[in-house]
Amino acid sequence: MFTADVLIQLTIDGVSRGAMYGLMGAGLALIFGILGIINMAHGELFMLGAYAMYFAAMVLGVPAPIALLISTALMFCVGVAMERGLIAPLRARLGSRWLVDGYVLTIGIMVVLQNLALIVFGPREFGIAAFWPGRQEFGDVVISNERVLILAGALFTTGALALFLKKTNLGRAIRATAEHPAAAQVLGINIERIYAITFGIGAALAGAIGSLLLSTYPAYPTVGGEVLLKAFVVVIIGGLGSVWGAMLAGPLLGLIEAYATAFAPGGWQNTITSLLVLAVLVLRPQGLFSRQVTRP
Amino acid sequence: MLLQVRELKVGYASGADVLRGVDLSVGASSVTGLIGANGAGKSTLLKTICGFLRRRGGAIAFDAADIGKLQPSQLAAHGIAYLMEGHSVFPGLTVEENLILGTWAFRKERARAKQAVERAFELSSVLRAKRKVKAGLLSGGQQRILEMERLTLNDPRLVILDEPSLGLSPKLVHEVFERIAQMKADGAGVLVVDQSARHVCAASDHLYVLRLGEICIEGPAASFSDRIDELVRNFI
Repeated sequence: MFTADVLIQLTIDGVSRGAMYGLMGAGLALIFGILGIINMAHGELFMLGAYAMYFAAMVLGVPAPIALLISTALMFCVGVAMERGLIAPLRARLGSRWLVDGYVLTIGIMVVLQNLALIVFGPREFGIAAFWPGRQEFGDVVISNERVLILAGALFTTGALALFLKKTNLGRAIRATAEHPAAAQVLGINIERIYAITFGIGAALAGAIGSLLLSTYPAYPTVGGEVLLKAFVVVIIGGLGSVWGAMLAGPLLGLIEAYATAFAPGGWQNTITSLLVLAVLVLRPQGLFSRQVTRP
Repeated sequence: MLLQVRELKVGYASGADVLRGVDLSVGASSVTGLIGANGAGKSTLLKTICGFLRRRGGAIAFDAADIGKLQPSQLAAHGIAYLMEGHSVFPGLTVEENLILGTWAFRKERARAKQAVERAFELSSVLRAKRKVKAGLLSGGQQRILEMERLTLNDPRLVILDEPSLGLSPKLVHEVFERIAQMKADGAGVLVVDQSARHVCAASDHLYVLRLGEICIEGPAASFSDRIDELVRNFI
């Protein structure tokens, strides 16, 4: 029943969807690693990105690749503005005890953004069938063009993020600030700027994914909830605060979901993921892909 | 004078001050040693000079300009290097990446930044061998060597060292103080706090003894060299 071509299809499906989860998780992990807050509004950044994409591509008629760039850039600005306007003042005022307040603040942002979307756009779903209709055939394997597009987008973004963090001055400064903020400051790194840029990057990633996945997840006010849940799963499996771990755990989760959907009876998909999360938390709480570390 | 601290008062909470009016100066091409018992306020003084703590009174001048409102991230641009208490390498970054970050203040002068990193590798065989290794996997001594090299990449004019020899083997302690002598030879002013009073005294031109937030003794280091044991017994 399950021939090679079905397996290949499931694998491609799982990896492409999973890479998106991985990027959502990587954004969460970046923000957590630098600012120490779990951004509960991360799903809403995804939601805003999806709306931005829909309006740029479908209402304004901008070509899809440019619409993607617009939405990503817009979400970067939203992220920077959120950090500068809401999170930074809280951090300045509350000294070292601001973390819980920062966490609660992001819950507030989540609720506000969801309801704003409901008021402005209403409850209806804004989606599209596909940016690139049609399909590719490789022998028995049939892949929709949309899948190819999503897979390429996910791999490209993952690669770009990895290169950015690994090879650029700014990327190194972000990693350094996450590990030892005081030492980074002494070397001349303005960590306030790093905070804002990091939040912007996390938001831009969420926005880009919300845009790319518009055919899978249409834009509606609470679309972020499910995606945020996946991002949390990825972050737990990959190791809290580990960007690389999240990028690896994403495809793993995607594969498990894809195979579970195909091989297990309906409804087991989420149970299997939840069991995996439980197993990781009990057996390897530091995550599958990260060494045990202690935060200073 | 390169660095001049006048009547500096610092306190953590409202209450008794940790520093109760400290006067201290550091000249170019010289080493200034600061010794004192635990809790005398040595680290507090260095943290205040470097902008991590705010003074309650007094003045801090670098090159005759007031730096009392300096942010720590502006130190490097002013030509001030600071080795903070404890470890300050980035453990998840490689040795090379740690050194590259040491050139952050002049990262836009790419050729100069690259050259500074390469020179550090030429000078230190230990770091050369560990170039692509994560700094967190180095031994404590190797991490200190990395910190010292990273500190001087942008040719600082003032180097402030908080316990550079803490936890090192005697051989490495010797190396650290040789490195300090080299910084002086390169024209930098060095302010060093260390628990090893004998080493500090031998390496310094001028010595200060801090006791309960006040300078109790100061003078040319040479004048203390024969009675350093007595000094340690009485004040540290």
